[in-house]
Amino acid sequence: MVLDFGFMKSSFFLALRGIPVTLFITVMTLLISIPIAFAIAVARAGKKRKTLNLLFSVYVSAVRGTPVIVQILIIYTMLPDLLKFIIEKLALPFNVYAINNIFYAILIFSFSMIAFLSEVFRAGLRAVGRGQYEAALAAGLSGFRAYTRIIAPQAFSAVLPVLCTSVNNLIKTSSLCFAIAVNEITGIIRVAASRNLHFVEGFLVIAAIYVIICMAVELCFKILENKAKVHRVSA
Amino acid sequence: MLELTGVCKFFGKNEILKGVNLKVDSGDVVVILGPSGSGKTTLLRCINFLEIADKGTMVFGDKTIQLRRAKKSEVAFVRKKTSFVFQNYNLFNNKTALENVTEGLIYGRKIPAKEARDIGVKALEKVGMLDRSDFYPSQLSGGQQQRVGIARAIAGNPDVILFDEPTSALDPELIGEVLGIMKKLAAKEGTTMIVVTHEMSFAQSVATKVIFMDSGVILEEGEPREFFVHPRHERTKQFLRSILYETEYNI
Ligand SMILES: Nc1ncnc2c1ncn2[C@@H]1O[C@H](COP(=O)(O)OP(=O)(O)O)[C@@H](O)[C@H]1O
Ligand SMILES: [Mg+2]
Repeated sequence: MVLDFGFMKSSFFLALRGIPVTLFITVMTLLISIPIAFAIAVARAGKKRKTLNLLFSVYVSAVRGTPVIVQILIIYTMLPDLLKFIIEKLALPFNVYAINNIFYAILIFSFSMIAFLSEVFRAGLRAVGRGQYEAALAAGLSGFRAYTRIIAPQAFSAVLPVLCTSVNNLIKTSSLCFAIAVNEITGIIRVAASRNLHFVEGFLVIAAIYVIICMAVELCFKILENKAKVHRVSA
Repeated sequence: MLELTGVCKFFGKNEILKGVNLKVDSGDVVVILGPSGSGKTTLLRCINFLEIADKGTMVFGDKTIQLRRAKKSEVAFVRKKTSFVFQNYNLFNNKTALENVTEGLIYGRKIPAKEARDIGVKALEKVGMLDRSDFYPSQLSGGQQQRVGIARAIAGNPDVILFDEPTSALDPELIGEVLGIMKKLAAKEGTTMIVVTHEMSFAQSVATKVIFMDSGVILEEGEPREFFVHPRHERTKQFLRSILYETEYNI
């Protein structure tokens, strides 16, 4: 079997155009899901939250128990009709079919990232423990300040390795967006390769691109972890 | 200055504090003794609202506060007037020694950062930790961490400092440095303190008042000389014997 290196080169440059889309989906998803997931984790850390806990464990199980591609298909087939219904009810001047599919992608990934990250942050909060929170209150900080200044930074640095893995997973999962015709890395190459049937070349190229992106992400996280290391108690 | 009346606290069905009364005057060093599980920590925690008591009143300065229904402003008031030294230090691990001290000043008491820094430096100096001001807790020994904990507690210039077994997590050879600082605070600065401890030497030499707690009640209280020489209750005698025996045994 002979690889068409000319096509590989041209598809490499073609795929580069998909990187901003992939990164945009990833970053937007993180920007939405990290604060919400953290808020959920904090809320669940309080005492006597039986109903809340039950609700969220069902949500987490549902998200974990379904393939992402199925989530994409469900939301993508359901949500436009639902939105259309709402928009028509409220008589908003807004065309559902003008919504870019990237928006749906971000929504779908946020939906599962929130579930996943809220569990991650819960573990992180547990790792910090109550003592420092109480010390912060005793020192006169408000509960909010105690979380933002003392607890959250430590919870974050405790979960950095897991967070790194989830960001990489998210980047890789975003390739499933080809199913809803989003022009990210995978989508672009699939379309290009289907024209001359050089799928192998195309897919090898995007594999390499994903490897490079994920290595870059890992490097960023390594730097962050080194910065955070000094805070962590060795005991 | 600080007076507690009828403090009760339940955990579930267990009554942990059964109507505790406590009076602390300015300059007092009140030492609370008692066996493990008698409610000493819970009592201290009820004072600064880390635990909400089910019953009881606190008179603090000119304020009278119902412990169970304390308003946010009342909690903030008490927390401003008190500070807490924890058994396991509870330093902020993501902050340096100096930041540990200034954090509460800046974000709790709204003191400008520069002024807070000056106060922090003075506080660290008092506990002999100025040369470690840029160290993180993970880089300090237990004794050093607790000294920073004390610096954090004195920095806000509180009316009362609450100590919950400040030396019991320390290796024996590190206990002295922490007790030394506490003694200095009492003698030189006249700092008002409520101290839960098993260090009898500290109780005997520094306390102005000794309290013995057992199963959620104050069984006996008095001046240290009277308390240690003529304990009235059989339970107190038993406790003192066990502690003294333990101390001798350790030697
Ligand atoms: N948060 C809590 N929930 C349930 N029980 C508690 C809690 N905190 C303390 N207790 C119980 O209250 C009793 C008194 O505890 P504590 O005040 O820590 O005693 P001490 O400090 O004198 O050793 C113990 O039996 C302990 O198990
Ligand atoms: Mg205790």
